[in-house]
Amino acid sequence: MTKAGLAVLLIIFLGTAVMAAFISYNLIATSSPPFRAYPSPFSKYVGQPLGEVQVNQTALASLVVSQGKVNGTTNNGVILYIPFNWTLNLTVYNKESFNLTVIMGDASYTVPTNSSMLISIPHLSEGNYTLLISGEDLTYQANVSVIKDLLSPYVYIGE
Amino acid sequence: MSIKDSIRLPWSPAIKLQQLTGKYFSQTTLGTSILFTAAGLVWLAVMGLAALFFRLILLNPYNTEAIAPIYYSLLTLHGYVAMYILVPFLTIGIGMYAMYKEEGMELTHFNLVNVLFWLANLGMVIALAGGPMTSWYITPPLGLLQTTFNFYSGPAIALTYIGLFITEACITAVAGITVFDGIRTRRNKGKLSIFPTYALTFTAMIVFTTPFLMATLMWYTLGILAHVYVNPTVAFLLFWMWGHPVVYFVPFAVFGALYAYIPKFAGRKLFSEKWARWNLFLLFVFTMLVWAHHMLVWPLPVWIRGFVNASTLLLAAGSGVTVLNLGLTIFLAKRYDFSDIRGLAYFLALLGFIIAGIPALILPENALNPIVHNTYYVVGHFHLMIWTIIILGSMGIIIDQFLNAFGRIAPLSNLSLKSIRAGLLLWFGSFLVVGFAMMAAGYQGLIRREIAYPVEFLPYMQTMTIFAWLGGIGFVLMAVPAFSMVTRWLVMKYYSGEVEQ
Amino acid sequence: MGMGAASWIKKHGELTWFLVLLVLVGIFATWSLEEVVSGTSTNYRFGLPLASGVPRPLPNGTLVVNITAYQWGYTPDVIVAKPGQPVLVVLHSRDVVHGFLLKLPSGTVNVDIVPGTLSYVFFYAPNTPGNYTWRCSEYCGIGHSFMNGTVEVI
Repeated sequence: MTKAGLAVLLIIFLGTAVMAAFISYNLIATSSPPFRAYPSPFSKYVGQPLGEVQVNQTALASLVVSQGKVNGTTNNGVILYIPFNWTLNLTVYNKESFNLTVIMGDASYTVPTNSSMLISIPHLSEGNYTLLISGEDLTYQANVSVIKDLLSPYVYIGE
Repeated sequence: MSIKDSIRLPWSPAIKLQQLTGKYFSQTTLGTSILFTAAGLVWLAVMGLAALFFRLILLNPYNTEAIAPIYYSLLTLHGYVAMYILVPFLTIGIGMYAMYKEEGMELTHFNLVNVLFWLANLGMVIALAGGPMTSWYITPPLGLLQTTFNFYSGPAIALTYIGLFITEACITAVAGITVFDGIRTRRNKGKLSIFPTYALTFTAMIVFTTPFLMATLMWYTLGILAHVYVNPTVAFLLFWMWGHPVVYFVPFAVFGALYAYIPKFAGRKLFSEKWARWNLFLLFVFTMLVWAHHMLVWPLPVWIRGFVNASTLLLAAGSGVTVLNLGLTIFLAKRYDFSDIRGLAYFLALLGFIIAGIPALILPENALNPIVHNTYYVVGHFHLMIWTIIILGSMGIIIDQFLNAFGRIAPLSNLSLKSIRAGLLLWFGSFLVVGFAMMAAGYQGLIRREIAYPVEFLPYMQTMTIFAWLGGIGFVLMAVPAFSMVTRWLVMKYYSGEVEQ
Repeated sequence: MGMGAASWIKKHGELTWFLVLLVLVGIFATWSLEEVVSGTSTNYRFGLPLASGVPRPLPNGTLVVNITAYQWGYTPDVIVAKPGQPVLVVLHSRDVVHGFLLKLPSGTVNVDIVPGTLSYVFFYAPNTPGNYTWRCSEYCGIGHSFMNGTVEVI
């Protein structure tokens, strides 16, 4: 019997025990009860869209207007895809030296220079909308597409 | 009929060539195996120096993007050299040595192997001159971004991938030749002894897995030159088909040596030879099944996660029995011979493998993997493996190899033996500290490959850097005696007028 | 007795240890998978980041945020949530593979963002108001260290 061998065996057994305890601790410490029980994601929902959701989901998007460009793009560069019946919370940041006018549908907003504004449009119905941003020599059109059965909101930024 | 017999003209280029290859190419199995392990040590020194220097950069938590190109170039050099050339060279060198020493199996295609060896080095140099800042794995499609490269730009970066392709193709060929020649020249009957069994199995694994990497490299090359579409997920899967097994090449070639020599230094039989042989199947099969654990943060279906979780833990259980096998061998012996530096190196390699392996058990756990994925925890784990089972284990084998080749003419002096012993212990101790500092920081959220990091991690970074440099001194303590041994051997040979066998 | 133990170890030691390890593998693999499937793991709920893991229907009051990652930043890089509010983050990469690592008091959310695929993250905002920083966890180029964003819980 050698002491070195004993040390090796002790490290193997104690190490395994310590690690089992460490893993258990982590599994417990990072476990939190689910909001409610959901069906397991094994195969049932693979590849299917989110489905009908009645609650008020919110899509966040931000448009930064700076140096004659919106999010670094020229006219028609941004398309927002929003699922049907969702709320769009759009923040427009005006980094220009002039005030901006934002028109979506019938509503019109004014975003003063060097400030931002949160534009909230609840319960979007299906269809294509244009979002017009203008001021001084800037005219920019972004597109909002509200689609039924869309999995999640999605921002397309073209170059 | 050799070339000499057929062509008798004294100025014939064929004869000249044969004289040159006879003089400069290694023509013995032992010599060729040293060619590979020694080249491995040189590359190890290169990548180690790179790491020691980028560790200095990391002492500043407020680095800016200005220093990023230098840091990431050093990091890429570190990783490229480690995984693309050092690992296969060590594996092949150990494979050749094992079959030569234990079974008297020989290489026969010396010229071809030598040519492939130098081509592999050349390919690596071409790849490194491209200096892509992509770290050791070529994250698709990052590797395709032509702006992130140092010295080549535009489509010329394809040279980097072509260079790596040349290296890997040569390595695959040499590995194939080694196994083929070895089997052909075997004279003994019955079971192959345990060291060559392991070393040659994992040399053969190079042949099975490296083509996946070569395919990925070719795909990138075509992506750059011919604008072929590279699907990131498929490319990544293909890459890890090689990228996971590659980490087992050296450790398990070394395990062959541990199975063969730890019993010798313990003065008794291996506790269970049966398990040692069964474990080979477990390792061979499961290395191929667990690679997706590198992708647990990717969008993967749950059934793959469950499979990878269980299979990786099963592989770990196999290793758990392996270390028990060796631990019991030492435990049940009357004494263990630490006075032999090889005995010490093998023991430290085994101890390090256990210490590095146990903390890794959290990694495959799906529910916990996000805590540590891409953090220093992983870095600490795999570096501890590299510093112990890979480097120290290989050191044991290389010392044996050197003693075999040079020891009779140039034996190690007492001072050299002391220096190597001190080097082994300093290396082991220092890197144990570095490894655990890395794991502690990673568990708390220090992300790897960052040049600017939350300042609370600074003490950890300082610990890592200081002890890494100490470990580097340990390497020098081991390298100087080896170097002086070779030098002495050369000088003695020169004066005695001996001809190379 | 000493010799008896030694011979027992010689005979059965290895198999016993292997069986013990197998039991441990069984326990921990099952436990981990159970937490993933049932969604009780803060680190890793419902098999995310695949869409198939997103809870259906989404809990009432879920904040859905669509984030685009690029070299080197996120847009938007701020999420404003109420304490305890469920948050679904849909991640999209415009160029290369990025990461999203957010350390919360109850665990760590960490996924990769692969171009051409959407990655999903679902978590509950911490109950303690404050700023929680997420960082890019997958190396993505020279600006990697400076890619981060903030969850503002107010």
